[in-house]
Amino acid sequence: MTIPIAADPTMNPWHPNAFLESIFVNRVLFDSLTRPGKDLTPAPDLAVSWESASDGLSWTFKLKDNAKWSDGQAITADDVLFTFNDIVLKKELGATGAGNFAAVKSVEAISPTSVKFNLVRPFSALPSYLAYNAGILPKHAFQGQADPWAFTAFNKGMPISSGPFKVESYTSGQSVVLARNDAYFGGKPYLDKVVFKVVPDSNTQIAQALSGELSIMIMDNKAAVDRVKSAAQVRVEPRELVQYYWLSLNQTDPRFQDVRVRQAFDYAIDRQAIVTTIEKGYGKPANSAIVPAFKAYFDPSHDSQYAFNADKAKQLLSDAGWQAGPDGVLQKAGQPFQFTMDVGQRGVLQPTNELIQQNLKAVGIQADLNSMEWNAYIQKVVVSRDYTATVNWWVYPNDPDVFPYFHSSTAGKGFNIPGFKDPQLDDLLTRVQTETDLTKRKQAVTELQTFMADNLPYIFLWYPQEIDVINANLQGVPDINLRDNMHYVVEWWLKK
Amino acid sequence: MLRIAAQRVVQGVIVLVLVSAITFLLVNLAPGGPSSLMRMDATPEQREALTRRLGLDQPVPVRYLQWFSGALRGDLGISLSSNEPVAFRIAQRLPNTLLLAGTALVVSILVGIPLGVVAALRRNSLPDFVVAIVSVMGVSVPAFWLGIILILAFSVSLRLLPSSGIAGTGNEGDLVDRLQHLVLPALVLSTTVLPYVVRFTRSALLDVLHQDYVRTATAKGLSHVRVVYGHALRNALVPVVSIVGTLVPRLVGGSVVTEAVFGWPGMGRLAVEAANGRDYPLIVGITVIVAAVVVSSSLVVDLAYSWLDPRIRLT
Repeated sequence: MTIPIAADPTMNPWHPNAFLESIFVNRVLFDSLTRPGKDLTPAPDLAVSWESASDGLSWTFKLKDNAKWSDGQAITADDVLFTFNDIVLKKELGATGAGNFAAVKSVEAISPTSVKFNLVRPFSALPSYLAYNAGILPKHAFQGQADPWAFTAFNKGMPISSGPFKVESYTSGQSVVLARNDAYFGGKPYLDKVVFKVVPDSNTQIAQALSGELSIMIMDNKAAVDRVKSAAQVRVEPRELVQYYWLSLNQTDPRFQDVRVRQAFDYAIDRQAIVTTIEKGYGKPANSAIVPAFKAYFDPSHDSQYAFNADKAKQLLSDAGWQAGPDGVLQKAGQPFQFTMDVGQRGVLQPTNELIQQNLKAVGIQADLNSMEWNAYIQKVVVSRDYTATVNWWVYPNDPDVFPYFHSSTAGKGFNIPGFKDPQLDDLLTRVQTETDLTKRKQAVTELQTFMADNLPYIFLWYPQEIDVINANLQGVPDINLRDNMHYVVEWWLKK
Repeated sequence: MLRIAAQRVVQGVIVLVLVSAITFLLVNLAPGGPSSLMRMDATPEQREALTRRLGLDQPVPVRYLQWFSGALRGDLGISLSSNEPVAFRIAQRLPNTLLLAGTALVVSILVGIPLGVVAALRRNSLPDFVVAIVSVMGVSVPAFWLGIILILAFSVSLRLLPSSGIAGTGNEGDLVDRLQHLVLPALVLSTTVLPYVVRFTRSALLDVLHQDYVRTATAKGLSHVRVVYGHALRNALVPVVSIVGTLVPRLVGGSVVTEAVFGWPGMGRLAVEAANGRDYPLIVGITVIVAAVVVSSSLVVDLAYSWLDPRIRLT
């Protein structure tokens, strides 16, 4: 069973160099307290049950009492304490994903099989967030390591792990081979081995899936999906994602502070056309940050709120004081409606920006594109916030708590990229974050979606789907995206 | 000759120092930063903590002097993206690239020189035109496209050869398996240099064939084969040796694309990853090592040149 990854992994889920390729490997190697359920709600993993205190200021997790590390040592509360208190919450380490646990003050042991997360504010999404790249690390392996990130014998070698498979060999630039972990507390996996093969080129990945060298892969470039579909040796399956694409209009630019202008952008951009042409139909236009995959929370009543309508866009722009100039570009107080969109060179961002540019031109807005290498783009747009408009996406944990991406406290330098601030939005985000009563929480999420669709803190573009290409022999793969599926490799099997 | 060789070695060392200083400065001036800092999901607090941990809050000249004093002791620093020593990462990959590039170079010479001889002897005939067209195609067809086409033909359709990697997983010790993995990438990489060998051999041989001593050899009744292979080609090959030196940088450049397409774990891919991820010590380390390979290969070629043709003196 072979899965492609684009580069060498780092086998520690909290390592600052643990990127996408590492996520796949780490989710197999390191169990977390919870894992994403097949319905995306948190399901038991190392923890068997959990409950929050009545004041919402702590969560208690009961651990499995027979779980063992791959070296045979017991997995206890001490490992959970080490992972959070000594790695995640240690600010000077800059652990990846630490930002997801900003509400956690400390973790304490109630007993060897029970831990309590003390919070600075109620955080009802904690069990979901713990299923999101939050693997527990073996305390005993890290004993005596001054710098956990420099512990290469572990994160670039042979880590002690807790999942159904453990590392058998790791060859930089080539592969990570996992073999069955006999100490695993769960059921025995059907597969003997899981091989993560480093295949950097996405076209080569497709060729290898067709030649049978790869068992399952994500098809990032959907252009060839119809041709791959017709191949007998593979099947093609779309999966729901917790991801949305957005256009951020920098709120320090007064032109974008007018909600009519933002709404005009949403009407002017033919988002269905983007889905149809660039995503080959795999996805749908978005109107809020809450994805359709959250079936219990997603409100479909906004689906057609901004159906493509250039006339309506022009009307809204005119209401906002923008009048056609002599060259066809809208003007206000003698200033043309013209700006630059920074384009990061990754995935579908370039063609998406080109379509948006044409759509905006049709309503009299001139958007110039500035294409940039990815790393330089992140520094300019995300770190320095030196941009006017840009398209990008968010992937987030399986919970409608989207506080970090929208709250006013994260504007300017955190994940609130447009820098949109509104007290009513802050209030809704806090309600979603703190509400423990499910009915009341659903109500808050519904109101949040309405606020987002009406006020457009970001211009929501579309919810993408993932295309998985799976070898005909590989069976038992649950209908969830490949990252989450890494928690279910134990259920996969090969048809003889 | 020894004195001259020593002089060239000293010059080479100066070149390497300059290369390291300029590269260090340029990569640090380039926009962006190490990929652990330039990720969408890093908070400002994380970026600040990591900047301090990586020592990037120090001024560039200070960091260069630190690096340089380490390099004098053979320590090229720690890779920012893997926390492993730079020298270790390069040592893992350099043999793979030397194998791939060396094979491509040998193939190019073994195939290129006979083709060049044919083209020169049958000048302006059909074989010459065919060789010319094939070499022009070799130069013009991009390696990534040719690579994918060969993968589709030989791996997907015919299932004769593996499409990527240096060895099958678990088969690392199997020589046949390794050779099978080498065929396609070496073929693609050789197309980036083969045409130059062909064209150069052709023109060098044509030059020689028109010289007086060749006419003399023919006039005194030597067979055509003796004239061409015994007299003309031997002299024509002297300048061909010199071009091999200039092909080395071209091979290094070609290996970047070839290694990416075929998932070949070599220096080219390492260089791309280092550049994309702004792994400053690794970029500088790779540049210095590659520069050392280029400098020493041109030194070897120069020495070989003067040995083959005693009239040429190194100055």
